[in-house]
Amino acid sequence: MGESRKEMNRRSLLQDALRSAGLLGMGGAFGFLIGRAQAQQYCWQIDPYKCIACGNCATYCVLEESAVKCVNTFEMCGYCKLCTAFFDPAPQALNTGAENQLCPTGAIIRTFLEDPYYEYKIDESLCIGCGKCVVGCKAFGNGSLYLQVRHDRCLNCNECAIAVACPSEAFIRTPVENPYRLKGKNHSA
Amino acid sequence: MSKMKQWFNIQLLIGLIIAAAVIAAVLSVIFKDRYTESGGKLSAQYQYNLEQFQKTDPALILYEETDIRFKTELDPSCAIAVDSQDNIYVAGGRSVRVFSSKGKPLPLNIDLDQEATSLTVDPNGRIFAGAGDRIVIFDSSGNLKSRWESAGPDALITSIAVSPDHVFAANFTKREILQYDMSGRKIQTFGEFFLPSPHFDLAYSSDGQLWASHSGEHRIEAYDLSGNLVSWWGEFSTLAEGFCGCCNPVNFALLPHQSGFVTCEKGITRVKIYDAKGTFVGFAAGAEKFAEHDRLCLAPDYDYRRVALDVAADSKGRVLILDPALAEVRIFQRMENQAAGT
Amino acid sequence: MIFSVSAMLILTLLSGLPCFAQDIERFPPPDFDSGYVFPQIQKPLPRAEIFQYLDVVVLLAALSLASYLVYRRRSRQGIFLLTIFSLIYFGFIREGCICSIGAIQNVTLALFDESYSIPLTAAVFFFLPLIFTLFFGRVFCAGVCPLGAMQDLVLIKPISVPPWLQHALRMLAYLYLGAAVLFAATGSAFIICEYDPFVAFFRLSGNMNVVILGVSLLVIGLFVGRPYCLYLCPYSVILRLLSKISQWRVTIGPIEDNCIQCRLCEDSCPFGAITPPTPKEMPAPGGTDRLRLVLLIALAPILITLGGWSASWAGDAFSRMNFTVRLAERIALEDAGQVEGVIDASKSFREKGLSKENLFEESFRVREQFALGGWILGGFIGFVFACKLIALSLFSERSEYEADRSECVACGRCFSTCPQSAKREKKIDAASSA
Repeated sequence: MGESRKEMNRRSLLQDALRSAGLLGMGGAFGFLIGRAQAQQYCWQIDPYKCIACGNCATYCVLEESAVKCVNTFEMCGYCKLCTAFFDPAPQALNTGAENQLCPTGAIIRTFLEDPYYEYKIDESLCIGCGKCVVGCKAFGNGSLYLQVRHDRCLNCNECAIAVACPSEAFIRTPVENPYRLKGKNHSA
Repeated sequence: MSKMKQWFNIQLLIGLIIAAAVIAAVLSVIFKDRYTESGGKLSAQYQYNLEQFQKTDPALILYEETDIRFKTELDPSCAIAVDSQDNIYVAGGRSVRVFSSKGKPLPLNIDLDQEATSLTVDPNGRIFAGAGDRIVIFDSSGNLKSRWESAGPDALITSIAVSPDHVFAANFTKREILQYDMSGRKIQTFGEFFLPSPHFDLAYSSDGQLWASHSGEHRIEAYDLSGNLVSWWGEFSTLAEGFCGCCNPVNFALLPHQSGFVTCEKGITRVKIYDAKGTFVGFAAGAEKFAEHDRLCLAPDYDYRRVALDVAADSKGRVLILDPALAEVRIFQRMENQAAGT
Repeated sequence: MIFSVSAMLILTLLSGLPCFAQDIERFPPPDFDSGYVFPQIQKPLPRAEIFQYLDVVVLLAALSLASYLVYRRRSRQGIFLLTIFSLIYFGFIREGCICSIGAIQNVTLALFDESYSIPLTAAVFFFLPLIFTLFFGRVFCAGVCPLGAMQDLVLIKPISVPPWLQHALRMLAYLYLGAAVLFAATGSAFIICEYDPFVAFFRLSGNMNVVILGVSLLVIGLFVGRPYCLYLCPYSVILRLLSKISQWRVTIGPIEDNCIQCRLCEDSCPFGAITPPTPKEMPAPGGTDRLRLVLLIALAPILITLGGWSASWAGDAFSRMNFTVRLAERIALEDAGQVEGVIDASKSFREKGLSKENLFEESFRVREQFALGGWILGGFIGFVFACKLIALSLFSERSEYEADRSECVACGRCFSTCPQSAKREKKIDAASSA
């Protein structure tokens, strides 16, 4: 009995030592990592200068309706009468008829401003983030349309499923204080 | 009966369910689609596709490429011009380089103090370079003759045309044409242009008309020397006859002897020939010729300054194309059989 | 590794520069006569940072409450209610992110990649449950982990899994942990998150395959207690290890050393975590057992080498989880004319006009990392395997029915089966009524 108690003591001593070592180690690792991290929180965003608008954003988001939508930097927009992001490459007529529109969901709103300028806004409730207009705008126009993660929708998954599928490594972790990567000089961080 | 009971043994049933679930779990892990090779699993209606418009009808191709193809070694290359001896001038970066009509570099090399934005050479061999917000003039040996006043703090001189008595400059920022006398005094500004992207080209024809590209309206317009709009031609079409996209043509040049125009488009990168009345004649070069240019331009971070082709025509009617994406000049000449036919 | 990190940093900086220049030199917009002003781009903000701290507070509270319920109240009901709360908060409200299991990868990436700075919540979610485990055992599993909660709730008809199968299946968790660390350390993937079986339920949407995986695990979970926790969870590997040296341990009865061996608790544990006492008349460990032990210890280095060697072969296959490796392979195949056409990734790479040499070099470097990582991973598995064999052949005397320190998830199902508990309840009742 005495023998076994001694063993018990030895065992609990060993356990205590290990536990203290574990605590110390974890505390050290925690302090080291946090000290380096400056308590930075991240969220996901698309670098528009890397995005090729392949369409993965529309299908790979864990949300049924993707958190990625198209945005327009108006300062860069040409306000084209004949917007190649709005119209089919070879439209039958230059009016807002659905058959002339490029967007499969009709998410671009075209408004007459003054001759000859038209404004193009995205109806985010309709946009699915397929990026078709992004390619259309880039092909002929100024590239003012591009895709961005909308943070009112994004769940900020630890590992973004779209980032995994992204063919151009355009998905980046960006600090929450500056959660958008907008085009145009007024928006550059 | 007892055999039946054994068959419906609850343990066995549970075992089967578990086995099925394990198999389903393993398969779902193995076959999870982490990424797709192309198109994001979207159907064709979600894909932007210009391919059908990038194919050129061979019957419409009137020009063939010569062996002369050379690098400008200027970045970004922005403008091309020819003088009366058919020497080739290219502006880009902060300099102007000169090449022989065969593409051999000539010793003349002109340095600018600002990034070049346009270039023209008048019949007397004087070199007019747009350097951002101002015009700089050199004689044919490359000596600085004159450095004109800035046309405005953020002016962008995207083209220059020279008549015997006047100099015209296209200021993209204000979307207007500046008219100077030969001493550099501004006489007037005129024109109202709709230009979504920074391409605004001018050319002076010897019959006394100033031609300007009005890309937002898909037109080429003629002005008299007082700045009045005289006539225009051109229309939107993605098909061969018209100018495609939001804003084309980006650049153009006059063919010798007032025989017509050669125009450059972006988006569907093509160089086309129109007659003096603005009727479509055919292609100098179809989109197939610029596959590499297009591939580069599609990159999301591609610089707009390297997108638009520039064009010039020499006295023999050769079409000289400056491809700023590849920083090279390519020369096309009219095909013999086609020339015989017309 | 640090080298590669700085190289990546420089690359990012360089790739950022032309964008900046382009923005500055962007051509001027049109002048509007009508006094039109450019609309503002709407920038909805992400969840405020304060809520992240709330998560940390809730985690701390839940862990404390779980420890209290397990050790002071010994209340299965209380633990059950806490489980429901955690499922709702960490699961359905917080939609499963961030979780302690996934945080393994954040910690790993932060250790290997200097440029990645770990969010405070991820670090706390990783370390806090571990610290609690050092004192109280796996109380995190009992009442805080939403994945555990999900499975605990569906368990309706537990069947017993034969011990040999249990031991074998548990190796999967080590493999999973090793692979997750390897992929996170090389910056290739966060597989724990990617294949998280229940997150799709929490978000009520997700990848179809992951939904199938989740449903399958729940179906298994109807009969086999907590299949993910027991056989797959990479975090449980660490928790098991730490709970072996925890300050306090979960006991079936309220008082230690007081087991009357009534065997009432024997079948109460659906997780096979109750170990029976060793038979009294056990022959003392004889020569053959000792020989076996010596043999097993001698076998350990062989197992480690064997594991390392075989996994280093698998390293090449593993490396295809890495984007760069995949892209480099594709580009090489396209250039060699062995595949037709381009895919989005290769098209994008070629558009950007990036250097192939750099890509191949980077890919080679990653593959080297995977080869080395494969060795380490395989060696680790071999080591675990050897330890397992040794542990199985070790004999330790038990005079009571005990909750196994490392296997017990502190769910509290066995508490009420012990007649001692009833006595204690009575005493407490009496004390409170007095």
